[in-house]
Amino acid sequence: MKEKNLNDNLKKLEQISQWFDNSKEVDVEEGLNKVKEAVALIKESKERLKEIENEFEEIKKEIEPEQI
Amino acid sequence: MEIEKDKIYTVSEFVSFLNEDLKWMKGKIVGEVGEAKAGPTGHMYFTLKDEKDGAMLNCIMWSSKYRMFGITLEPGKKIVAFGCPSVYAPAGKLSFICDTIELAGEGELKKQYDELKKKLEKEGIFAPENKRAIPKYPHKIGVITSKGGAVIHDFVNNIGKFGFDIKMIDSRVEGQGAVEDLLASIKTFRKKDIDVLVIIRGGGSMESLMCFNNEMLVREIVGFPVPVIAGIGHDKDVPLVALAADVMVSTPTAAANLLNESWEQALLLVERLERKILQSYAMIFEKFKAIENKLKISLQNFKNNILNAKAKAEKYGERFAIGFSLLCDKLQEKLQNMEKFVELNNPERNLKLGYSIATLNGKVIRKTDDIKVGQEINLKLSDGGAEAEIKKIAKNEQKAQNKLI
Repeated sequence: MKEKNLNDNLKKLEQISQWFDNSKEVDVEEGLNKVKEAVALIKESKERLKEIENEFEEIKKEIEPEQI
Repeated sequence: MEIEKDKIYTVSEFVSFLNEDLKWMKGKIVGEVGEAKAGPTGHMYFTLKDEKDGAMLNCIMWSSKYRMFGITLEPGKKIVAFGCPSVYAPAGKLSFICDTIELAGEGELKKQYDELKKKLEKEGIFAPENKRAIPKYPHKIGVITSKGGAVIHDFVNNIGKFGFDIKMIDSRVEGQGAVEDLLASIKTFRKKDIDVLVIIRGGGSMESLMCFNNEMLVREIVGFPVPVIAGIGHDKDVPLVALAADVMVSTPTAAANLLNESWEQALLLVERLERKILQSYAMIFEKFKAIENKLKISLQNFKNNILNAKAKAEKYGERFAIGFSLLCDKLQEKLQNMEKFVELNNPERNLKLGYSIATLNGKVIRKTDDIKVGQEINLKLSDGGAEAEIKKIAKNEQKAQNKLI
C-alpha cells in the first residue's frame, strides 16, 4: 500500500468515526455498512504499519570533472 | 619517478616530470594575501606572503573551487590554503594550486560566519514562513553523512521499521574540503527520487563545522526540491546549513525520530479509531436489541387487547341475543302491516269489486281527453278482457267548467 493510500484510509476512518458521533438515530443497515468498510480499512492500514524491514543502500556521488 | 642523470630532457619534459612529483606534495599553508586578481574566466591569481620574513608564493585557485568557499581574496586577509604546487609551463612559474581556502584564526571564522548569517538573513533565507513541512509518512529517505562515524549507526538504529527506503551518500563532513563533497552529494540526490533529504553529523568546533557555513551549500539546501532535515551537532553558533534547512534537530537520533513520528502517530490513530468504531458497532446492536424488545412488548399488548375484546364479547353475547330477537319481532309486525296495505291497494282487487280498467295502446285512460271517437280501446276485467270502440264522448260539464275556472 502506498503512503498516500494510508493517509486516505486514515481520513476515511476518521469520517466513519465522526458519522457515528454525529448521527443521533443510528441507521442500523447503514451503520453495519460503515463498520464493514472500517474493518477493511483498519486491516489494510495495520498491514502497512506493521514491522517492515528498511532497505539500506549506499550510492556514489557523482563528481563533475574539474573545469580548468 | 627517478630522474635519469644521463638523459637530456626538453623543457617541457622536465616541467612535466616536476609536476608529476609535485602533485604528491599536498600541504596546508598559512599566509597573508598580497596581490589578488581574477582572470577573464574567474580563476583567482594571488600571492601568499609570510608574516615574519615576507617570503612569497604564487597561488592559483580555479573559479569552480573559488566560488565554493564564499571567501573574497583581498590584500591583507589571512588565510589557510590547502593544495599542491605545480609549474605552469607556458610562464615557467611555480604556483600553489589551492583546493580549498579558509580564513585563519577562530576570530576570523566567527567574523565570516556572522557576516554571511547577516547577509542571508536579510535575504529571508532562514525565514520560518519559507520552511516546508516534512511530508507525512515519508518513505524514500536520502542521507548524507560520513560512513565512518557513529552518526550513521545512531540514525539507522533509531529509525523505525516502517519499510523505509534509505539511500546514503558517504561524504566528508569536516573541514573546508567537505564542501565539495557535500555539494556533489546534494547534486546527486537532486536527480534521485526521494521524499526527504537528511544531512547529519556529530558535534564539533566552529572550525570543523565551517563547511556547514558555506554560502553555496546553504543556497543548495534552500533550493532543494524536497524538504531537508539537518541534524548537525553544534556548540554555540548554529551552522548556517542547519538554519537554512526546513527542520533542524541536533542529533542523528532526533532526525530518525522525526521521520518515525507520523508513522507512529498513524499506528496510534488506527488503534484508537478501531476501538471507537467497534464500540459504535456494539452500540448498534444494543439499540437493535432495545427496538426488538419494544416490538415484543407492543405485540404482547396487542394480543392482550384482542383477548379482552373476545372475553367482553362472550360476556355480553346473551344480552345481545335477546335484543336481536325483539328487533326481529318488531320487523315482522311491520312487514305484516305493509302486506295488508299492499293487498288493500291491489288493482286486481278493484276489478273483482266490479271496476274495469280501460287502456289505449297500453296506457290507462283516465280522462275524456285521452280518447277520440272511433278509437279502439282495451278493457281489463277481473277474469279476462274485451275490445271496444268509442262511439261517443260525453264530457262531464261541471268538471269542464271547473277546469275552465
